Amino acid sequence: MEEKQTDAVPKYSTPRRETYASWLENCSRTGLAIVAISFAIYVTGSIESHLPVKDIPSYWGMSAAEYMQETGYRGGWAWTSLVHKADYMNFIGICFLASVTMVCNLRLIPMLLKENDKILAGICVAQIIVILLAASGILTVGH
Amino acid sequence: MTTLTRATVSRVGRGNVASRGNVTHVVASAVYLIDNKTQLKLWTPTDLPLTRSFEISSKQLAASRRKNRIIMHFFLKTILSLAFFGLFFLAPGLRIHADESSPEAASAVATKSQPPELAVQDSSGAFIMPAPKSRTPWWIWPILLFIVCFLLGIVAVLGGVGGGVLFVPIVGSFFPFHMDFVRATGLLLALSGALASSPMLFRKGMTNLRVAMPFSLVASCSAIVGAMLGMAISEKVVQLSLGIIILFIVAIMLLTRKTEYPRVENPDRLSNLLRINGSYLEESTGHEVDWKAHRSVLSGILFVFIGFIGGMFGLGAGWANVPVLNMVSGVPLKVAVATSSYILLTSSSAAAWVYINKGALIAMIAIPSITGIMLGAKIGVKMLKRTRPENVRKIVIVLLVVASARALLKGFGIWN
Repeated sequence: MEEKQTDAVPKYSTPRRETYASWLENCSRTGLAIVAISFAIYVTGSIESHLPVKDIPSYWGMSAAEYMQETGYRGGWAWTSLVHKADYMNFIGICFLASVTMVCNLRLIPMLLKENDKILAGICVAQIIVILLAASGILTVGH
Repeated sequence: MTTLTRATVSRVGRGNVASRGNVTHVVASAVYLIDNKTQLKLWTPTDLPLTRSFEISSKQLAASRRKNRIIMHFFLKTILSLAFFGLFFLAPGLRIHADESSPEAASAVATKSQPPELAVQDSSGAFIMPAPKSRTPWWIWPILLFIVCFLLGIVAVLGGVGGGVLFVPIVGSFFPFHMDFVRATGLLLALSGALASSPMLFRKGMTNLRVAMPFSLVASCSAIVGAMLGMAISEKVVQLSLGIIILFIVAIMLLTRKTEYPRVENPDRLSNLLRINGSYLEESTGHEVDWKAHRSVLSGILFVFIGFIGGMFGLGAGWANVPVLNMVSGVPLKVAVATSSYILLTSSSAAAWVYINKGALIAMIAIPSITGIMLGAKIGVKMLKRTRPENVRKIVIVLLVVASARALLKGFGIWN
């Protein structure tokens, strides 16, 4: 481990990191704001819910498969068709938060290619594909 | 007991120093500094004065201790008593009522308690008993969950562990929620925590993408497999395995000792190919520290395991990321902690999608938990100044052992 005194601009201070940090910060703030607003709408009952709020305790003891069977929810991206209902409106913010990494990595790729860092760009693309696969709902197993 | 900030350090003259020491070890997100007189917890992702060495005056130390000892002991004991009371008595008690409100349990209760003349005909013409109304108002649960998560957030920060590793075993064991929903929420908690801390760590130059990206790719793939498998197995098997895994995590917490600057003589071929090395500014000294990594293949294999466990049980992976990066790869402690946050971000995100797609998301569970734990963590950061991390760490270990025992008992069907 080398430790050296330096007066020069440190190597760690790169625009790439700054851009990534800004994107991450803005996206997560947006996601949390959406979550907060949609949850406020949900609990105040301003918009009708697919499942009445008071009935939720009847379902949370069930497995996810039983829950879907009982409520008629089909899983995957089916929530997008129910997004006008207050309970599924909450999915917008949560899914947005789960997608933040993907969005930030997309922003990173051109910067890496510009720096001719092909290996890291390749890994970045692979990471996006992996999260996309997970998000797509193609990968399923079990109940 | 106090936490030093850089401002404090600059005010303390060298002739007035009672204690001086270095960063000795890191547990998840917290850096501990220790010498023979005092122990200070300096760093959490939301409170980041990255000082490697510290100095504190005897006057400051004595004043701080006098001022805070009585209040903090009372406060901590109250919190922990409430937590234990809630977990052991209140939650299982309320659970009976919640169970009664589930359709199967409700009809069973109805059959026992209601006269046959109340039976009604369903659409197929069969006679069924109407489900009685739950005695517990629905809003009790989100509020109770919020309070417990708030306390967990405080304890997690003070104990230097991630929120997910406390949330899943405790909420999974003592609340009436199915493990599918608890694990999904656990991953969302890990994700939110990492999202909150990552931007600052990037700006400080502590997160290194060269280390983070290859390992996060491996961990994400295995987290997806873990999540898929976790959704496919029965709740009893999940509880049983969770009990064992939590004991394993406790062992890691007790046994691992990390080093601030591991010695790396010869980077391996993969590390060279991926150029896993870097430099960062050590703020306490104003020095730039160059570092390199080794044993990348072994680390990659370990990340397969970590991602798998994190995805399967919704635990996040901060408990294992830092020891592997620091002790196996030879990454400096601070870089390991920051990089762990990024790995947690991607692997939790990938695994969370599997749970979301399988319908394991109930906003009424997820959102109070996320907000509760994030607020608790903020309070915990403030309380860091007045608490002894070593004691809280012991409490965290006790909590984990109790939750693990509860999970094992549930898994074996002894105490459901």
